[in-house]
Amino acid sequence: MSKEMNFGDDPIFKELRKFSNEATGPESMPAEIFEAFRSAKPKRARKKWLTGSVFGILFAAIALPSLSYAGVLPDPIARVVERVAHVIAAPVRVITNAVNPVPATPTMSPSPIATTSPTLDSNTSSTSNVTTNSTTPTPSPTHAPVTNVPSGPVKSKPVAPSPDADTNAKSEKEGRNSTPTNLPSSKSEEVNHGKSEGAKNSGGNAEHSNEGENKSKATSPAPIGSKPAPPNAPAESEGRGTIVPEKGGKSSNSEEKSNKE
Amino acid sequence: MREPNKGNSRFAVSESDLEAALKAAQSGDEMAFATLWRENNSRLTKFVQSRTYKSDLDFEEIVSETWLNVARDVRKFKGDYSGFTAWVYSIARNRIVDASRKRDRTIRPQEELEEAFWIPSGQNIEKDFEADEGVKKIIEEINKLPSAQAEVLMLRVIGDLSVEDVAKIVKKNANSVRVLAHRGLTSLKEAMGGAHE
Repeated sequence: MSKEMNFGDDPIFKELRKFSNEATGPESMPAEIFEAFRSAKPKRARKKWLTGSVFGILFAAIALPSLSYAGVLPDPIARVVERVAHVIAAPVRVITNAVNPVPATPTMSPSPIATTSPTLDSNTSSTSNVTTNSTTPTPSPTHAPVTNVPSGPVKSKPVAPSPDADTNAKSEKEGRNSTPTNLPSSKSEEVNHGKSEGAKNSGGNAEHSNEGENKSKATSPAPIGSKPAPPNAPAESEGRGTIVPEKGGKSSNSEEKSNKE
Repeated sequence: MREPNKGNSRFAVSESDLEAALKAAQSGDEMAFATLWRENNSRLTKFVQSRTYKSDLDFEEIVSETWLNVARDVRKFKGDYSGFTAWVYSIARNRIVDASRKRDRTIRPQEELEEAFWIPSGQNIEKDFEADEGVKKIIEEINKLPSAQAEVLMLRVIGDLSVEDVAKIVKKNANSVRVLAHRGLTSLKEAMGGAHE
């Protein structure tokens, strides 16, 4: 400290110190400096803070849900984020539902498909009920479509117990699809039955083919909209899908030869 | 600690008043900023004038730029009044360095200068430097010293700053500043021929 005092009091700097202590220059501050001081008001800082906070909020709004979805965030934070996202999304969902109403299921709305659908027989009503109940439960229109999708046809209860329903249930339990029995195109099944029987007999016996049809009827209900087969219709049963082996497989070739000749 | 009002300011302002003025200026008070300017401008101008003595640099422009910079950024400054003074001088020092670099980049041949009626600012400084011949001589001798020593001597004598403040400005520790000041003083005495001893 004494050295510093000596440095300041050194006579070599006496004149210089006197010179520096003299008051010179303008008495008032120049206007441009005043302007600079005014223009540097906290407007800039406020703007900066606002833009920064807006961008920060946007970033958080984008990043947090994605992080929680990715499972990076710890559970409590992720729960909070999901809750907030749900709360934010709820009014949006309501608005979107109001603007674009959820298309009603065929059972709810009178669509042309529903009107043209074939009327069911009393015998097949039980199975059809099962299927309709299982696939299209009566949804309330206010509920969201995603949340009201039934978990599966196994959970649905059949309206009336029937052996067919049992078979369906069994097949569903086994993991097989129950639709082939209910489809109106079960005619093809008949044909297949006829095929097998006809192929076995190879003579085209009508009774056998009818037996085959009967068997198919016993195992499966009558197809919707299919015509009941007449009791004696060998030509139909044999003609459809059955391959009747020709006597003398070269007959067609021999005919061609004869024509050439 | 630096003592304010050693005769260079027109109004007697105490250290505590200057601290209060600094706080008020940071919150947007123009009069408080004017007080700070009045307290520091004269010494700052003389420091810049001494550092740019007989050079082509325009000291008034440097001082003006320094104060504009201070006016823009005084709200961001954190510290007491002593730190504020050191900050102002460090800005002035940086402006001097910038101006000298700019001058080196834009140096032009003599003919062009004459054509453009561009008078070297060193002449202006010499003209405006209203000081005794003894003061001019000592400033000239100080400027002949190594730059670091000359800078420390100017800040210590003309700026009337403490060793700690000078250390902040020149970005060195206090002991280095003391060493530089001592060496500068010794060299200056040798150069002046021991006339002041």
